[in-house]
Amino acid sequence: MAKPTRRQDLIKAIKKGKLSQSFLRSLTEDEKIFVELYREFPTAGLDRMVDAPAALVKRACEIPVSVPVHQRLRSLVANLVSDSWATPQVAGVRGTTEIDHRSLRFGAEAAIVMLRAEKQRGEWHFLVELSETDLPQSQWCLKVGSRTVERTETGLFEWSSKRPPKSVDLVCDDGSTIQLPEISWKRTTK
Amino acid sequence: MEPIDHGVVASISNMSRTDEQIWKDACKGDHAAWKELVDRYQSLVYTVALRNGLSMADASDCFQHTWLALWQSRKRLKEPERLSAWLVTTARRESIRMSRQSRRMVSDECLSAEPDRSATPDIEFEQLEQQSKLQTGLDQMGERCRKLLNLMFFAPEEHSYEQIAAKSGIAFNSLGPIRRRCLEQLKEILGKLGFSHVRGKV
Repeated sequence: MAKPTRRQDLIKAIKKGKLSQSFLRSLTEDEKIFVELYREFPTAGLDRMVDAPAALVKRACEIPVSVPVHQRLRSLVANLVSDSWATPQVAGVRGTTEIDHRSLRFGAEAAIVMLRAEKQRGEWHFLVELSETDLPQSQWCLKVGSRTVERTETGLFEWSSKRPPKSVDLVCDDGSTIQLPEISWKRTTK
Repeated sequence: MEPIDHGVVASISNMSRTDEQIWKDACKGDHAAWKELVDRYQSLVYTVALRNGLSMADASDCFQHTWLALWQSRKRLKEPERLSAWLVTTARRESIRMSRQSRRMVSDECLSAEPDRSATPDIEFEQLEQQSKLQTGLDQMGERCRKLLNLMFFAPEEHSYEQIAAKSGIAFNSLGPIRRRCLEQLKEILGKLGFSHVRGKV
Protein backbone atom coordinates (compact mmCIF):
# COMPACT_ATOMS: atom_id res chain seq x y z
CA MET A 1 0.00 0.00 0.00
CA ALA A 2 1.24 3.48 -0.89
CA LYS A 3 2.41 5.59 2.06
CA PRO A 4 -0.03 8.44 2.79
CA THR A 5 1.12 12.03 3.20
CA ARG A 6 1.61 13.22 6.78
CA ARG A 7 -1.37 15.56 6.64
CA GLN A 8 -3.47 13.75 9.22
CA ASP A 9 -0.51 13.45 11.60
CA LEU A 10 0.17 17.16 11.31
CA ILE A 11 -3.48 18.10 11.85
CA LYS A 12 -3.71 15.79 14.85
CA ALA A 13 -0.62 17.35 16.37
CA ILE A 14 -1.90 20.90 15.79
CA LYS A 15 -5.27 20.06 17.32
CA LYS A 16 -3.58 18.63 20.40
CA GLY A 17 -2.39 22.13 21.20
CA LYS A 18 1.16 23.18 21.89
CA LEU A 19 3.64 21.79 19.40
CA SER A 20 6.88 20.59 20.93
CA GLN A 21 10.18 21.94 19.67
CA SER A 22 11.31 18.43 18.75
CA PHE A 23 8.15 17.98 16.68
CA LEU A 24 8.69 21.30 14.90
CA ARG A 25 12.31 20.40 14.23
CA SER A 26 11.21 17.13 12.64
CA LEU A 27 9.13 18.98 10.03
CA THR A 28 10.28 19.67 6.51
CA GLU A 29 10.08 23.29 5.33
CA ASP A 30 6.80 22.78 3.49
CA GLU A 31 5.28 20.95 6.43
CA LYS A 32 6.14 23.96 8.58
CA ILE A 33 4.30 26.21 6.13
CA PHE A 34 1.34 23.85 6.18
CA VAL A 35 1.25 23.93 10.00
CA GLU A 36 1.42 27.70 9.85
CA LEU A 37 -1.41 27.92 7.31
CA TYR A 38 -3.52 25.31 9.04
CA ARG A 39 -3.40 27.23 12.32
CA GLU A 40 -5.06 30.14 10.56
CA PHE A 41 -7.17 28.23 8.03
CA PRO A 42 -8.17 24.97 9.73
CA THR A 43 -10.10 23.74 6.74
CA ALA A 44 -8.02 20.90 5.32
CA GLY A 45 -10.06 17.78 4.84
CA LEU A 46 -13.42 19.55 4.95
CA ASP A 47 -16.00 19.05 2.24
CA ARG A 48 -15.70 21.54 -0.55
CA MET A 49 -18.09 24.44 -0.66
CA VAL A 50 -20.90 24.23 -3.16
CA ASP A 51 -20.90 26.55 -6.16
CA ALA A 52 -24.18 28.36 -6.70
CA PRO A 53 -25.91 27.55 -10.02
CA ALA A 54 -24.53 29.73 -12.82
CA ALA A 55 -27.93 31.36 -13.46
CA LEU A 56 -28.09 32.53 -9.85
CA VAL A 57 -24.59 33.94 -9.95
CA LYS A 58 -25.41 35.78 -13.17
CA ARG A 59 -28.51 37.30 -11.61
CA ALA A 60 -26.58 38.38 -8.53
CA CYS A 61 -23.99 40.01 -10.79
CA GLU A 62 -26.76 41.99 -12.45
CA ILE A 63 -28.18 43.40 -9.20
CA PRO A 64 -26.54 46.83 -9.60
CA VAL A 65 -28.27 47.32 -12.93
CA SER A 66 -31.57 45.63 -12.05
CA VAL A 67 -32.25 47.61 -8.88
CA PRO A 68 -32.34 51.23 -9.95
CA VAL A 69 -31.85 53.94 -7.40
CA HIS A 70 -34.99 55.99 -7.07
CA GLN A 71 -34.65 59.51 -5.92
CA ARG A 72 -38.16 59.81 -4.60
CA LEU A 73 -39.00 57.73 -1.60
CA ARG A 74 -42.70 58.32 -1.61
CA SER A 75 -43.54 56.11 -4.52
CA LEU A 76 -41.31 53.19 -5.26
CA VAL A 77 -41.80 50.57 -7.87
CA ALA A 78 -40.17 47.33 -6.78
CA ASN A 79 -38.30 45.08 -9.15
CA LEU A 80 -38.50 41.32 -9.15
CA VAL A 81 -35.18 39.99 -7.89
CA SER A 82 -35.86 36.31 -7.60
CA ASP A 83 -38.65 33.85 -8.25
CA SER A 84 -38.49 30.22 -7.15
CA TRP A 85 -40.60 29.23 -10.14
CA ALA A 86 -37.92 30.63 -12.39
CA THR A 87 -35.12 28.86 -10.53
CA PRO A 88 -33.64 26.11 -12.67
CA GLN A 89 -34.34 22.67 -11.20
CA VAL A 90 -31.78 19.92 -11.20
CA ALA A 91 -32.88 17.18 -13.56
CA GLY A 92 -33.34 13.82 -11.95
CA VAL A 93 -33.42 15.09 -8.37
CA ARG A 94 -36.67 14.08 -6.79
CA GLY A 95 -38.65 16.52 -4.73
CA THR A 96 -37.13 19.69 -6.10
CA THR A 97 -40.17 20.81 -8.09
CA GLU A 98 -42.55 22.59 -5.79
CA ILE A 99 -45.56 23.46 -7.92
CA ASP A 100 -47.64 24.58 -4.94
CA HIS A 101 -44.96 26.71 -3.35
CA ARG A 102 -43.55 29.94 -4.60
CA SER A 103 -41.09 32.42 -3.18
CA LEU A 104 -40.74 35.85 -4.71
CA ARG A 105 -38.40 38.58 -3.73
CA PHE A 106 -38.56 42.22 -4.76
CA GLY A 107 -36.17 45.08 -4.24
CA ALA A 108 -36.96 48.77 -4.12
CA GLU A 109 -34.23 51.10 -2.99
CA ALA A 110 -33.42 50.03 0.59
CA ALA A 111 -36.52 47.86 0.94
CA ILE A 112 -36.74 44.15 0.35
CA VAL A 113 -40.17 42.57 0.00
CA MET A 114 -40.51 38.81 0.28
CA LEU A 115 -43.65 37.02 -0.75
CA ARG A 116 -44.10 33.37 0.02
CA ALA A 117 -47.10 31.44 -1.27
CA GLU A 118 -48.29 27.93 -0.58
CA LYS A 119 -51.35 26.13 -1.87
CA GLN A 120 -53.09 23.80 0.55
CA ARG A 121 -56.42 22.09 -0.02
CA GLY A 122 -57.30 24.36 -2.90
CA GLU A 123 -56.55 27.56 -1.04
CA TRP A 124 -53.52 29.82 -1.30
CA HIS A 125 -51.81 31.04 1.86
CA PHE A 126 -49.54 34.04 1.64
CA LEU A 127 -46.85 35.55 3.80
CA VAL A 128 -45.24 38.86 3.01
CA GLU A 129 -42.32 40.33 4.85
CA LEU A 130 -41.04 43.85 4.39
CA SER A 131 -37.49 44.63 5.44
CA GLU A 132 -37.15 48.37 5.39
CA THR A 133 -33.78 49.62 6.40
CA ASP A 134 -33.83 53.25 5.34
CA LEU A 135 -37.54 53.72 4.97
CA PRO A 136 -39.51 55.67 7.57
CA GLN A 137 -40.31 53.67 10.67
CA SER A 138 -44.00 54.04 10.18
CA GLN A 139 -47.04 51.86 9.97
CA TRP A 140 -47.30 49.83 6.82
CA CYS A 141 -50.24 47.87 5.49
CA LEU A 142 -50.70 45.72 2.44
CA LYS A 143 -53.22 46.29 -0.31
CA VAL A 144 -54.22 43.18 -2.19
CA GLY A 145 -56.71 44.39 -4.76
CA SER A 146 -59.39 46.08 -2.66
CA ARG A 147 -58.42 44.17 0.46
CA THR A 148 -56.24 45.63 3.21
CA VAL A 149 -54.00 43.34 5.21
CA GLU A 150 -52.52 44.64 8.46
CA ARG A 151 -49.18 43.57 9.85
CA THR A 152 -49.35 40.90 12.52
CA GLU A 153 -47.45 41.03 15.81
CA THR A 154 -44.68 39.02 14.19
CA GLY A 155 -44.21 41.75 11.61
CA LEU A 156 -45.56 39.69 8.73
CA PHE A 157 -48.54 40.19 6.48
CA GLU A 158 -50.60 37.01 6.22
CA TRP A 159 -53.73 36.21 4.30
CA SER A 160 -55.44 33.42 2.40
CA SER A 161 -57.54 33.38 -0.73
CA LYS A 162 -58.80 31.04 -3.42
CA ARG A 163 -56.82 32.88 -6.08
CA PRO A 164 -53.35 34.35 -5.96
CA PRO A 165 -53.10 38.14 -6.25
CA LYS A 166 -52.10 39.89 -9.42
CA SER A 167 -51.17 43.11 -7.70
CA VAL A 168 -49.80 43.81 -4.26
CA ASP A 169 -48.95 47.24 -2.89
CA LEU A 170 -47.45 48.26 0.40
CA VAL A 171 -48.82 51.50 1.75
CA CYS A 172 -47.32 53.52 4.57
CA ASP A 173 -49.28 55.87 6.81
CA ASP A 174 -47.03 58.74 5.71
CA GLY A 175 -48.23 58.23 2.15
CA SER A 176 -45.25 56.27 0.82
CA THR A 177 -46.02 53.28 -1.34
CA ILE A 178 -44.10 50.34 -2.66
CA GLN A 179 -45.77 48.84 -5.67
CA LEU A 180 -44.90 45.30 -6.64
CA PRO A 181 -44.90 44.52 -10.35
CA GLU A 182 -47.77 42.45 -11.71
CA ILE A 183 -47.28 38.79 -10.86
CA SER A 184 -48.16 36.05 -13.31
CA TRP A 185 -49.24 32.81 -11.65
CA LYS A 186 -49.19 30.68 -14.80
CA ARG A 187 -46.41 28.20 -14.45
CA THR A 188 -44.88 26.91 -17.62
CA THR A 189 -43.74 23.32 -17.15
CA LYS A 190 -40.57 22.32 -18.96
CA MET B 1 13.36 18.47 -12.74
CA GLU B 2 9.95 20.06 -13.21
CA PRO B 3 9.94 23.72 -14.20
CA ILE B 4 8.64 26.14 -11.59
CA ASP B 5 6.21 28.96 -12.33
CA HIS B 6 8.49 31.90 -11.61
CA GLY B 7 6.00 34.26 -13.17
CA VAL B 8 3.36 33.60 -10.54
CA VAL B 9 4.96 35.59 -7.75
CA ALA B 10 5.54 38.56 -10.03
CA SER B 11 1.90 38.67 -11.02
CA ILE B 12 0.50 38.22 -7.51
CA SER B 13 0.54 41.92 -6.71
CA ASN B 14 -1.67 42.69 -9.71
CA MET B 15 -4.13 39.88 -9.12
CA SER B 16 -4.62 40.00 -5.36
CA ARG B 17 -6.98 42.80 -4.53
CA THR B 18 -8.38 42.93 -1.03
CA ASP B 19 -12.12 42.84 -0.40
CA GLU B 20 -11.95 46.44 0.70
CA GLN B 21 -10.38 47.60 -2.57
CA ILE B 22 -12.91 45.69 -4.66
CA TRP B 23 -15.80 46.89 -2.50
CA LYS B 24 -14.80 50.54 -2.89
CA ASP B 25 -14.72 50.18 -6.66
CA ALA B 26 -18.08 48.37 -6.67
CA CYS B 27 -19.63 51.19 -4.65
CA LYS B 28 -18.35 53.68 -7.23
CA GLY B 29 -20.39 51.83 -9.83
CA ASP B 30 -17.67 49.57 -11.20
CA HIS B 31 -19.75 46.64 -12.38
CA ALA B 32 -16.69 44.43 -12.94
CA ALA B 33 -15.71 44.91 -9.28
CA TRP B 34 -19.18 43.88 -8.11
CA LYS B 35 -18.96 40.80 -10.31
CA GLU B 36 -15.54 40.00 -8.84
CA LEU B 37 -17.04 40.08 -5.34
CA VAL B 38 -19.94 37.85 -6.35
CA ASP B 39 -17.54 35.40 -7.99
CA ARG B 40 -15.28 35.42 -4.95
CA TYR B 41 -17.99 34.67 -2.42
CA GLN B 42 -20.82 33.01 -4.34
CA SER B 43 -19.98 29.54 -3.06
CA LEU B 44 -19.62 30.80 0.51
CA VAL B 45 -23.09 32.36 0.52
CA TYR B 46 -24.72 29.40 -1.20
CA THR B 47 -23.03 26.87 1.08
CA VAL B 48 -24.09 28.76 4.21
CA ALA B 49 -27.70 28.60 3.02
CA LEU B 50 -27.48 24.88 2.27
CA ARG B 51 -25.70 24.07 5.54
CA ASN B 52 -28.57 25.75 7.36
CA GLY B 53 -30.86 23.09 5.95
CA LEU B 54 -32.59 25.12 3.24
CA SER B 55 -33.91 23.36 0.14
CA MET B 56 -32.25 24.25 -3.15
CA ALA B 57 -35.12 26.60 -4.03
CA ASP B 58 -34.92 28.37 -0.66
CA ALA B 59 -31.14 28.46 -0.79
CA SER B 60 -31.42 30.22 -4.15
CA ASP B 61 -33.79 32.72 -2.62
CA CYS B 62 -31.50 33.27 0.34
CA PHE B 63 -28.56 33.71 -2.05
CA GLN B 64 -30.33 36.48 -3.95
CA HIS B 65 -31.45 38.13 -0.74
CA THR B 66 -27.91 38.25 0.62
CA TRP B 67 -26.44 39.90 -2.47
CA LEU B 68 -29.34 42.30 -2.77
CA ALA B 69 -28.94 43.23 0.91
CA LEU B 70 -25.22 43.82 0.35
CA TRP B 71 -25.88 46.09 -2.60
CA GLN B 72 -28.50 47.99 -0.66
CA SER B 73 -26.10 48.37 2.27
CA ARG B 74 -23.37 49.93 0.17
CA LYS B 75 -23.69 53.33 1.83
CA ARG B 76 -23.74 51.88 5.32
CA LEU B 77 -21.25 49.03 5.37
CA LYS B 78 -18.69 50.13 7.93
CA GLU B 79 -16.03 47.44 7.76
CA PRO B 80 -15.58 46.33 4.15
CA GLU B 81 -12.49 44.39 5.19
CA ARG B 82 -14.89 42.08 7.03
CA LEU B 83 -17.12 41.59 4.02
CA SER B 84 -17.03 37.78 4.12
CA ALA B 85 -18.15 37.80 7.76
CA TRP B 86 -20.97 40.19 6.83
CA LEU B 87 -22.08 37.85 4.04
CA VAL B 88 -22.01 34.79 6.31
CA THR B 89 -24.02 36.58 9.01
CA THR B 90 -26.59 37.90 6.55
CA ALA B 91 -27.02 34.55 4.78
CA ARG B 92 -27.31 32.77 8.13
CA ARG B 93 -29.94 35.17 9.45
CA GLU B 94 -31.90 34.93 6.26
CA SER B 95 -31.69 31.10 6.26
CA ILE B 96 -32.96 30.94 9.83
CA ARG B 97 -35.73 33.39 9.04
CA MET B 98 -36.74 31.41 5.97
CA SER B 99 -36.70 28.13 7.89
CA ARG B 100 -38.99 29.62 10.52
CA GLN B 101 -41.26 31.13 7.90
CA SER B 102 -41.35 27.84 6.03
CA ARG B 103 -42.33 26.00 9.21
CA ARG B 104 -45.18 28.42 9.79
CA MET B 105 -46.61 27.28 6.47
CA VAL B 106 -46.70 23.57 7.24
CA SER B 107 -49.27 21.80 9.36
CA ASP B 108 -48.63 20.93 13.00
CA GLU B 109 -48.24 17.21 12.39
CA CYS B 110 -45.57 17.88 9.77
CA LEU B 111 -43.90 20.34 12.12
CA SER B 112 -43.31 17.74 14.81
CA ALA B 113 -41.37 15.63 12.31
CA GLU B 114 -39.21 18.54 11.20
CA PRO B 115 -35.61 18.48 12.43
CA ASP B 116 -34.21 21.60 14.06
CA ARG B 117 -32.57 23.22 11.07
CA SER B 118 -31.08 26.25 12.74
CA ALA B 119 -28.70 24.50 15.07
CA THR B 120 -25.56 24.55 12.91
CA PRO B 121 -22.78 25.60 15.27
CA ASP B 122 -20.98 28.92 14.84
CA ILE B 123 -17.64 27.18 14.46
CA GLU B 124 -18.79 25.56 11.23
CA PHE B 125 -19.59 28.95 9.72
CA GLU B 126 -16.29 30.36 10.87
CA GLN B 127 -14.60 27.44 9.15
CA LEU B 128 -16.62 28.07 6.01
CA GLU B 129 -15.47 31.67 5.98
CA GLN B 130 -11.86 30.59 6.41
CA GLN B 131 -12.32 27.96 3.73
CA SER B 132 -13.63 30.60 1.39
CA LYS B 133 -10.63 32.84 2.02
CA LEU B 134 -8.27 29.97 1.45
CA GLN B 135 -10.12 29.10 -1.75
CA THR B 136 -9.80 32.70 -2.94
CA GLY B 137 -6.06 32.41 -2.42
CA LEU B 138 -5.86 29.07 -4.18
CA ASP B 139 -7.94 30.40 -7.10
CA GLN B 140 -5.29 33.02 -7.74
CA MET B 141 -2.52 30.49 -8.16
CA GLY B 142 -1.43 28.83 -11.35
CA GLU B 143 -3.32 25.68 -12.22
CA ARG B 144 -0.50 23.33 -11.39
CA CYS B 145 0.13 24.75 -7.92
CA ARG B 146 -3.57 24.89 -7.18
CA LYS B 147 -4.05 21.29 -8.18
CA LEU B 148 -1.02 20.12 -6.23
CA LEU B 149 -1.93 21.94 -3.02
CA ASN B 150 -5.55 20.86 -3.22
CA LEU B 151 -4.52 17.24 -3.62
CA MET B 152 -1.84 17.36 -1.01
CA PHE B 153 -3.30 19.45 1.74
CA PHE B 154 -6.88 20.49 1.21
CA ALA B 155 -8.74 17.63 -0.47
CA PRO B 156 -11.29 15.87 1.79
CA GLU B 157 -9.50 12.54 1.40
CA GLU B 158 -5.80 12.08 1.95
CA HIS B 159 -3.72 10.83 -0.99
CA SER B 160 -0.40 9.10 -1.07
CA TYR B 161 2.58 10.81 -2.70
CA GLU B 162 2.38 8.37 -5.59
CA GLN B 163 -1.28 9.23 -6.20
CA ILE B 164 -0.55 12.95 -5.99
CA ALA B 165 2.29 12.61 -8.48
CA ALA B 166 0.04 10.69 -10.86
CA LYS B 167 -2.93 13.04 -10.54
CA SER B 168 -0.95 16.25 -10.74
CA GLY B 169 1.29 15.09 -13.55
CA ILE B 170 4.39 16.08 -11.57
CA ALA B 171 7.35 13.74 -11.35
CA PHE B 172 7.53 12.00 -7.96
CA ASN B 173 11.00 13.37 -7.20
CA SER B 174 9.93 16.94 -7.95
CA LEU B 175 6.97 16.95 -5.56
CA GLY B 176 8.98 18.19 -2.58
CA PRO B 177 10.53 21.34 -4.08
CA ILE B 178 7.40 22.23 -6.04
CA ARG B 179 4.99 21.89 -3.14
CA ARG B 180 7.25 24.03 -0.99
CA ARG B 181 7.40 26.71 -3.64
CA CYS B 182 3.60 26.55 -4.08
CA LEU B 183 2.93 26.80 -0.35
CA GLU B 184 5.17 29.84 -0.13
CA GLN B 185 3.27 31.42 -3.02
CA LEU B 186 -0.05 30.67 -1.35
CA LYS B 187 1.13 32.26 1.86
CA GLU B 188 2.20 35.34 -0.02
CA ILE B 189 -1.12 35.59 -1.89
CA LEU B 190 -3.11 35.21 1.33
CA GLY B 191 -1.00 37.92 2.90
CA LYS B 192 -1.61 40.29 -0.01
CA LEU B 193 -5.33 39.57 0.15
CA GLY B 194 -5.21 40.62 3.79
CA PHE B 195 -6.31 37.15 4.90
CA SER B 196 -3.16 35.95 6.56
CA HIS B 197 -1.19 37.38 9.45
CA VAL B 198 1.54 34.78 9.31
CA ARG B 199 4.35 35.82 7.04
CA GLY B 200 7.44 34.71 8.91
CA LYS B 201 8.61 31.21 9.56
CA VAL B 202 7.25 28.88 12.25
